[in-house]
Amino acid sequence: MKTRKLIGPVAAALGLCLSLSVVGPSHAASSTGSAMVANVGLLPNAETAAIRLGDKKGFFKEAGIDLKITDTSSGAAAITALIAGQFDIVFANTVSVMQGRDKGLPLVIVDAASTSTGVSGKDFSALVVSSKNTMKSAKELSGKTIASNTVKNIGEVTARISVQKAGGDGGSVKVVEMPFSNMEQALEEGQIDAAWMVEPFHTTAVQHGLRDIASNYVDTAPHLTAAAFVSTDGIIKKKGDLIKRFRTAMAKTAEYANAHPAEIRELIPTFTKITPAIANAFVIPRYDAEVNVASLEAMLPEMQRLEMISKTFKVGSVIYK
Amino acid sequence: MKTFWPRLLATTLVPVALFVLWYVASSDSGNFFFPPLAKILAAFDKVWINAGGFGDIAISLWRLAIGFLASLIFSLVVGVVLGLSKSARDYTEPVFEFFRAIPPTVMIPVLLVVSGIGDASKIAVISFGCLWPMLLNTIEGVRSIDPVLKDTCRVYRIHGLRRLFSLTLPAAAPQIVTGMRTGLSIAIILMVISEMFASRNGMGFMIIQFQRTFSIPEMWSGILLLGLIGVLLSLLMRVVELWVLGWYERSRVR
Amino acid sequence: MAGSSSPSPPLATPGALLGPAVVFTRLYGTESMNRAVSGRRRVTRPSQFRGVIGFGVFLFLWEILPVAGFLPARYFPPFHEVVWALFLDFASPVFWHSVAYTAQAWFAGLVIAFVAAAAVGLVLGSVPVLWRYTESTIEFLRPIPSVALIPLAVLMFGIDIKSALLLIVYAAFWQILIQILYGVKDVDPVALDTARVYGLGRWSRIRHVSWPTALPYAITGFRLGASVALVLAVTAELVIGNPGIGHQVALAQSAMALPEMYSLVIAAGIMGVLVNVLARAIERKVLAWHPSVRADRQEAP
Repeated sequence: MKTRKLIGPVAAALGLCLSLSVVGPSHAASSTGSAMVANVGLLPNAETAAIRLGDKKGFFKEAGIDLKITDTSSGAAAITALIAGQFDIVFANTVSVMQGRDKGLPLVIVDAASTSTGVSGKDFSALVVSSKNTMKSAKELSGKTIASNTVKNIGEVTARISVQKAGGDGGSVKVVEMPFSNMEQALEEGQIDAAWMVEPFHTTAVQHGLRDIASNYVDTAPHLTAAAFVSTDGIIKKKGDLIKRFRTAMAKTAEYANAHPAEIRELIPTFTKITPAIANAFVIPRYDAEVNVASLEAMLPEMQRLEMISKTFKVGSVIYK
Repeated sequence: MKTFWPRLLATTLVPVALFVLWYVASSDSGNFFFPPLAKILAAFDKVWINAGGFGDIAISLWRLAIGFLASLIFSLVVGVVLGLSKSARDYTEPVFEFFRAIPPTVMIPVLLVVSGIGDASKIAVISFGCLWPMLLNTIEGVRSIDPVLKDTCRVYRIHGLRRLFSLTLPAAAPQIVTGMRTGLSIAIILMVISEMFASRNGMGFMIIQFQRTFSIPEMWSGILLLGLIGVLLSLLMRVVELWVLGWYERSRVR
Repeated sequence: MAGSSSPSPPLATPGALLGPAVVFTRLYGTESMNRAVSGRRRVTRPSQFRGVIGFGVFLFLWEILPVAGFLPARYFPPFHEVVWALFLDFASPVFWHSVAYTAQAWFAGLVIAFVAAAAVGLVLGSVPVLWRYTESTIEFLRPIPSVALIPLAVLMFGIDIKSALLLIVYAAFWQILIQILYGVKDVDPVALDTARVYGLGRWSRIRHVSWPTALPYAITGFRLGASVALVLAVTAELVIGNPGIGHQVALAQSAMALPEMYSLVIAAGIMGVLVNVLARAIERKVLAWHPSVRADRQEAP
């Protein structure tokens, strides 16, 4: 009889212990020997191919870094995980980073991650229209509907700038939110007039007969730094050495990646759901390590107009010194 | 009247104390994620107490209402029919139980594909999610009507619609209302979540935008708002319950 | 996981599907579910059989309508494609890792919520003064939808499991607490007085009188909390991106891999069914000795 009575409390205690062990502190990074561990959060997309290639080629080991990569789901999520202490460095788009800094998050860009190719019509980001659409330029998108994967992000900002630069009214554009994968269908069915797409969705759509109407990154600034590797003031202060090593490794990685596009294309299907056929056809970004500060400043006026960022924000506050 | 003041004190002391505590403890908060309550309240005013804010609140609630009512009507109609027919129940209940077991939020990506990004998709999600508890509870309620009452109706030749409204629905009412309560809380969850994907307006959309752009006081104001909405809707539900069951309870007590 | 375009799958073996359908119908067949708690299991053969037929018709429609074009096959892949994707899932380690992650979050969240709710419920229920002062707060906090906390969870914990736990524990806690409060309120005051007369301290009274009385309610709360916990676990993964089943569904949707997406939805449903079955089994086990259930059994015709 006694044992029966004990079963309940014992089971509860055991269950509680099991559960609390799950809640326990997430494994802290520890250093093995002279190599420092860098916890890096990356989106599983083509823009992070370079750093993965650099890791494969051993540039990070050479620089004394043991790279631990974790997948993240979005730039904003990555940044919040960074602040929460889960990562040392994360991949995020530059608009989110500037917004975060503006709101008080101690974010710092340590390296550029992906940069626009600067060639109109051959960039990894574009505004796409359906095959039946007869529009000739972005000017005609005034007052029309453009889809972006999230609203008030780099896609929306640069799309509006594109329309404005083509002579239209960037402010009159209506932006709706939609997952990239739904955009092609929505275009063909006429639900939207244009869509902001990045690779591989862009090339997939073009192969299905849709066409580019503008290269929004190119229209915004020559060689726009679209995404970057971000850390925080605190981490830089505490692990300054790690950050320095990271920058060294990234500089080498960037040079190598830009010079060996074939290896990038080979690597992409291994960490994404992109097929080799598409990987060989689409446009890969430039993997410069230098941040193009002027390009970031070019986005500020539109961001301020959309009330995404305050008027007093200075791009310099977010750059590594 | 003698117990009014003590009761009032008992009801309000702890909530007010917690509120004040929160206000004071956070007033000089430097923590980014937990701004001073004062700031949150200011943001609340700025974001929600204006035409735009009301618009977002209204559109969310409108979607909720349509989805919930559509499912309720369907549950009542189909539930009564199935509840009265054992063979129909035998054929359909297992399939329904399976659908009920699917966590409703998982249907959001599915409905995104099937019905696109507009209101239809969100209403469909809300409908689908709250349908199962209401339907199954209605079936259960109708099924378990006291057979003596059913026989009495047959003896007195009370059939059809009259029977539906004087016996079936009132007798099944407690179960139906239980289903409605569950359905409502699922509907609220789905209302918020469905607006976090591919949306352009609504409370869920606003809150997730605030989180994405690191507008923390505004985000907290959204959390407070959702709490308020949750409480108000549950009070509304309670009123409906009293109205539906009070009438039933009163006739039972005799 | 499955490649985005698998070769045409073999037509689903109906037997392999009707097997689970039979099991499922046995568990959830009409009337049998309602008897599960009290232990009576009068499962009538015709009703079981009909349930399987009902399932069969549903699957048949799912197969025929897209193939015949009544449902757009672009959105609704025919059933055999989904089943094939499901079999591929079962062979995929990524799938099982996701399931394990979801199960872990569910379990941990549920246990923490249960222990917390039991503690709070017993204390509040046994000390009337406390209850009088906290009732309004609880009634206010209870209807707050846990999804309102999602942005906060994301900010505080990112995609760590703790963000899912925040949501799960918050949601399940209230479900269980309410039930336990009902239970403690149901305690026979005479029994309590007797215990007090015999010199049992407050803690002993809780342990020997209040808790056993509240136990059936606590178990009901556990059952309700279990399904809420699963819903929140999957929701957290869907919205926040924790690496569980919900996240896999989102990935499949964003890659427009529809058969896989539907197969994962079915997998989630199966998990829901298992949670229900488990909860009811625990209910039966724990309450088998409970006098209220025993009395029922003795009275059974």
